[in-house]
Amino acid sequence: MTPKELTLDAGYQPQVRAKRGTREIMLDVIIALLPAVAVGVWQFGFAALLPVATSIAACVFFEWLYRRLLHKPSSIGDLSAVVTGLLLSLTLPAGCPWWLPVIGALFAIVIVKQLYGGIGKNFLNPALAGRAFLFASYATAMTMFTVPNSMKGVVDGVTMATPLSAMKAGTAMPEYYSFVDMFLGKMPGSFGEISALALLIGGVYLLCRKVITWQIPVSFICTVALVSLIFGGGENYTRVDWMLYNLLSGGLMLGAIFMATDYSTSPVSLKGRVFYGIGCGLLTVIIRRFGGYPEGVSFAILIMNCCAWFIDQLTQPIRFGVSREDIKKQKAAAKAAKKEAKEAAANG
Amino acid sequence: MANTKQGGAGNIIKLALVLLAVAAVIALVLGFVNSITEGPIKAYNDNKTRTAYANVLEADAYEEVDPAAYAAANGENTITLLSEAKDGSGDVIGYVAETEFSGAQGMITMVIGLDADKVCTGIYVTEHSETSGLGAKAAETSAGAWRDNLVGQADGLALKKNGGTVEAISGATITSTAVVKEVQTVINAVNELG
Amino acid sequence: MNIKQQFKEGLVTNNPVLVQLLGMCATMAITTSLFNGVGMGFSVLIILTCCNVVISLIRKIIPNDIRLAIFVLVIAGFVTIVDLLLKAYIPALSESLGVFIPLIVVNCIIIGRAEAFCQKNPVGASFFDGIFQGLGYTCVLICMCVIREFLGKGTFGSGLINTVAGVGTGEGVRIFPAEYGALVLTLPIGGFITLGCLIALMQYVLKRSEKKKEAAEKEAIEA
Repeated sequence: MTPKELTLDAGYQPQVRAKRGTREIMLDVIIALLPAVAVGVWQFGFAALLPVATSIAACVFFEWLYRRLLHKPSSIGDLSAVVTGLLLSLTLPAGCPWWLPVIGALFAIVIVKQLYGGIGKNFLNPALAGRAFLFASYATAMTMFTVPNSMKGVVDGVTMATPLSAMKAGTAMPEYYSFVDMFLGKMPGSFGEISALALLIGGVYLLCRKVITWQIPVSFICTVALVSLIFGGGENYTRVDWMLYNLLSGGLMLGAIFMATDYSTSPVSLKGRVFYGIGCGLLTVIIRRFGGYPEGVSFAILIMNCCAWFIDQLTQPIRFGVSREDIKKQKAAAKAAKKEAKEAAANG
Repeated sequence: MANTKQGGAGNIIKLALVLLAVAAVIALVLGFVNSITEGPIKAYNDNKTRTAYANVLEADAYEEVDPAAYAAANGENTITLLSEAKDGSGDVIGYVAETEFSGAQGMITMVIGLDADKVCTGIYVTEHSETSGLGAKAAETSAGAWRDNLVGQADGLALKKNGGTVEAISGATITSTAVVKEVQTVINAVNELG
Repeated sequence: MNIKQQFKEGLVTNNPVLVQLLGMCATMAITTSLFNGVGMGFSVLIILTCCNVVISLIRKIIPNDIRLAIFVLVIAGFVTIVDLLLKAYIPALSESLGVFIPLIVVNCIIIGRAEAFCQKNPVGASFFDGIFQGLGYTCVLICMCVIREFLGKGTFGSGLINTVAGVGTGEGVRIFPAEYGALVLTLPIGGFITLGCLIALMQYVLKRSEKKKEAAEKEAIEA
C-alpha cells in the first residue's frame, strides 16, 4: 500500500476500497478554502498572501527535508503538507510577519506530524498545534490584528480590537460591528476566519464531495449556539446577541468545518463524532466566557483531539452480523462460567 | 526477604541500632557544616533586605513601627513590616514597607518606599511567580522599567483605565492592579500613623 | 569494569537522562539558563560521587532490610550539606534553583545508581561511576540549557557570561533580538518538547550505531 493510494475515510468493517486517495481529498479541501482566502485578500490586500505563501512553502519543505534525512519515502505528493500550511496561515493574524508561520510550520510538521509517524498517526491537529505554539511564544505578534479594508474609514490606527476582545472584557460591542458585516467578513481577525459566509460555502462544498460528514460541524456549531444562549454574556449583551456574536466572530466556522473534521484526530464512529462536536462546542464557550483567553476554539479542539481515541473506544459499533441479543447472551454465559469456575475452585 | 521472618525481636533491635548509628554520624557532620555556614547565610539575608530597602529609599537607619499603629489600614495583613527611614540626625525622611500580597499567579513579596510627603519613591519585588513577559515586568529593575511609573505617585493611586495616572502593564492588568492597590495600602497605613 | 568503558557508558550508552530516563523532572524544570544548568549539574555530580563512595564503603555492613532507608539518609545528608554550602557561598545559584536543590534527594539517578551499582561494586569503580554518570547528566543539562535559551530568548550563557552584578546575573551574549525568540521554550512545555527531541535523537544515534555494528559483524562472519 503506497502512501499515494492510502484512503483515509476509514470507518468500520466491512469496507470497500474507494477510487480516490489522499491527494484528491486534500485538493478538495484546498478548493473549499479558496473563498476564505479570497475574502482575506479582499479585506487585507494581496500583501497578506505573503505569510500564506511562506507557510505552505515551509510546510512542504520541512516535510520533504524530514523524510529525506530519515530515508523515508517522500510524502509531499499527497498534498497534506500544503493543506496544513494553508490552514496554519489562515489562523494567524492578517498582518503577521512572514517568518512567523515558518516557525509554526517547523513545529507543526516536524514535531506534531512527522515525529509521531506521519500522516494519519498524529494525535493532534498539526495546524492548530502550530498555532498554539505560536500563540504561547509570540503573544504580541499573534494579537496584532490589522484594520481590514472595509473598516479603514471607521477606525484610526493600524490595528484594532476584534469583536472577541470586547466580548472578553465584557464591554458592549462597538457599533461598527453589525451582524451582516460580521457574516460577510467585514471585521478584523485572523486571515481566514473573518467570513462565516465564505467558510460555510467551503463547508457545503466539502459535504457535497463527501470529504466531511455533517456530524462534527453541526454538533459543534449547535452546541456553541445553545450553550452561549444558556450562559449569556453578562450585563452588556442580550442572550440572542451574545449567541450570534459567538457564532460569527473568532475561528468557530474555520475550526468546526476544517480543523475539527481532520480524519486522524477525530473519532471514526458517527455517534462518537457527535459527542466530539458537543465537547468542542462546550469547551469553546466555557473558555471564551469564563476562561483566561478571548478565543477558545483552538484549545477546545486540541483538548478534544486528545479525547478522540477514548471516544472511539466508548462508541464502537457492534460487529457486523451480530445482534445486541447475541452479545447479551454471550456476556451472561461468560459471567456464569466465571462463577462456576470460582465455586469449583472453592470446593475442590 | 527470608531473614526478616526469622530472628524476630533481636533482629529488629539490630536494624534499629544500625539506623541510629548512621543517622547519628550524618547528624554530626551536618551540625558541623551548619556551624560553618550559618554566618555567611545570615549575612547574605540581612544584606538582601538592606539592598532592597536601599533600592527604594536610601537612609542611615530603619526603625520598625508598631503594627498596632497601622492595623486599621492593614486590614488584609499584606504589610508584613513597616519601618521609618531616618537620616543621620534621626529625622524621619520616609517610610519603607515590606509587603506580601497575591498577584495573578501567586504571592508577590515587595518592598515599597515612600518619602516624608507620602509620595512613592519606588518598589522592589523580592519574590514572585508571575508570567515572564507579562506580570513579571513588575519585577524588572532596569532603567525605564515599568516600576518607574510608580515613582512620584501620591495618595489616590489608580490605574489609568480606572481614572488614575498609573500606566498598567500591557497584558497584565491583574498584576498592575494588585501592585497599585498595595502601594495605596502603604500610603493609607502611613496616613494612619498621623 | 574498566574506566574507559564506564566513561562511555556514563556519557552515551547508559546516559542517566537520555537512556536510563532518570532525573528528568529537574532536567525539564531548571534548564532555562546556562548558570542553572551548570550549577545543578555539578551539584548533582558532587552529591552523586560522594554518595556512591560512602555507600560503596559501607555496603558490606548495611543489613539488607534497611538498605533503602540508609541510602536515603546518606543522600539526604549530602544534599543538605551541598544546600547549606550553596546558600552560604553561591546564594545566587541557591535562589535560582530554589526548591530543586532539596529535591535532589529524590533524584532517581542517585538512588538508582546506589541500588544498581554501588552496593555490588568496590569503591574505586563506584567513584568513577559517580563522576561519569554525573558528567553525562551535566552534559545533557548543558545541551538543554543552550538549546532552550538560544531558541527561546536569543541569548547564550546567561548568568555565566557577561555577568552584570556577580555570577548569576546578566543575560549572556545576545545572538538575536528577544522578540524573535519562541518564548514557549523557556516554559515547562518547552522543557518537555526539548527533552523529548533529545531522547529521540539519542535513541536514533544508538540504533544506528547498533545496526552498523551488526552489519560489520555479519560481514566479518561471512568473510
